[in-house]
Amino acid sequence: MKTDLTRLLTRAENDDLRAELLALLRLQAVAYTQGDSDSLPAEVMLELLASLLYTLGVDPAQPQTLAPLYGRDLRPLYEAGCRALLRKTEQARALIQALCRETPPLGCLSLSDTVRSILASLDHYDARFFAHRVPGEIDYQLIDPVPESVQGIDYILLYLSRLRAEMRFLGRFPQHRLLALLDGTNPSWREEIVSLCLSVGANALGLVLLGEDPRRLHIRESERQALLQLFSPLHPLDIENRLARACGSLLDTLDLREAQDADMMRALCRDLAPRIRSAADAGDLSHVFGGFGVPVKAYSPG
Amino acid sequence: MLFPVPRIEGAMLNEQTAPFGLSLSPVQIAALQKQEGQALSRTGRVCFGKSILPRLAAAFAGSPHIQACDWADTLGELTELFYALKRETQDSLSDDELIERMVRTFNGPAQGSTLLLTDFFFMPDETEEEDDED
Repeated sequence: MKTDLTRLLTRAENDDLRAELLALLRLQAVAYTQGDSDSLPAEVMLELLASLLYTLGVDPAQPQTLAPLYGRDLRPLYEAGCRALLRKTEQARALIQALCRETPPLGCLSLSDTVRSILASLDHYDARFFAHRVPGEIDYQLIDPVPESVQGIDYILLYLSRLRAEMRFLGRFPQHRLLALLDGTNPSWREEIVSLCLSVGANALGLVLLGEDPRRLHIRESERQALLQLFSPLHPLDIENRLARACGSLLDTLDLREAQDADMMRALCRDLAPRIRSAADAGDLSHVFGGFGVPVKAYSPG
Repeated sequence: MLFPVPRIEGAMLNEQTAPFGLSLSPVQIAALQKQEGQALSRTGRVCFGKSILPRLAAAFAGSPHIQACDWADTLGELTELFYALKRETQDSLSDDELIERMVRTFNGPAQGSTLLLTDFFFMPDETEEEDDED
């Protein structure tokens, strides 16, 4: 007979499981204080609880995630959960290695700071007591952000895999063109917390819509005007659909075949459509489809 | 509430303090238990283990400043102080260390005053300094 692992527990079952979880939480609290204290600040206790639930795979917002735990010995399940989390830290390290190999050397500070911070924090990831905390400071903003509901090392794994998709995308363009476009759209992009893919993706999609090679990245003023004519009569949803259709062609041209490549492009289209609509209303698409520029250098006399 | 306020074994508590002529009635014990719950709540703490009352009672019962007539009130005040100091010290002291220091301060500079206990608690301990010099 199969047990339905997604059912909701009865009230009695729920009470039993709650008692089991609190007994495990008590053990966690004793281990955390090393037996030195019989009480803890409520916020620490709530964090221990959040860590415990996360390690056991329970989402408090989804009661059906409790069902698989009912009637089982929670202690070994918890220990197995801790081991699985530590294995995930190894996966994260492997992802960072791959990321470092694939990331074009552009010199974006928020990107390098983020990866460095994650790598350093993985060594101190506390799977025992604070597994739900996200290890590392995230500065670099993804086009498709990881939902806040994702916790702990799972957040990092998802962030890194999405970041890898962005870097894979950027890696398909000639580096000098990437730099020229980034300098053209925001001269201080190296120091600011900005997405590198947004302007690159916008121009690449714009060129696909114009029937040009997206790897060129450069959009001339006449081409910008053509895009303005194309988008001006369209509703934001129609703009998004036009961009989405262009995505397929762009992904083929760039030989990007993984599911996350397509996910990233869909997120890019969602982000771009309203911005294109308001820029078209103002009659100027130059802030969406930027031009090339040169690096700004600080003036140093002598 | 994650954990209920811990229950106190009244008989055990009185057994510990009987040699000093101190005892609590069941009503007083129930009131103290309630007071501990309120102290935890006021200081934003959760008790996941045993009540601190028996340990406080055992530690303070032998103090020359304790009087049988206000034993219940004093124990209540000490319970409030214990959790307040636990918060003030940001859990840097274990329960036993904190109680030990409370007793030393209560019997020493505070001269049996629970009101002065907090003031003197954070002052440098002269006996400790002398010990360090030795």
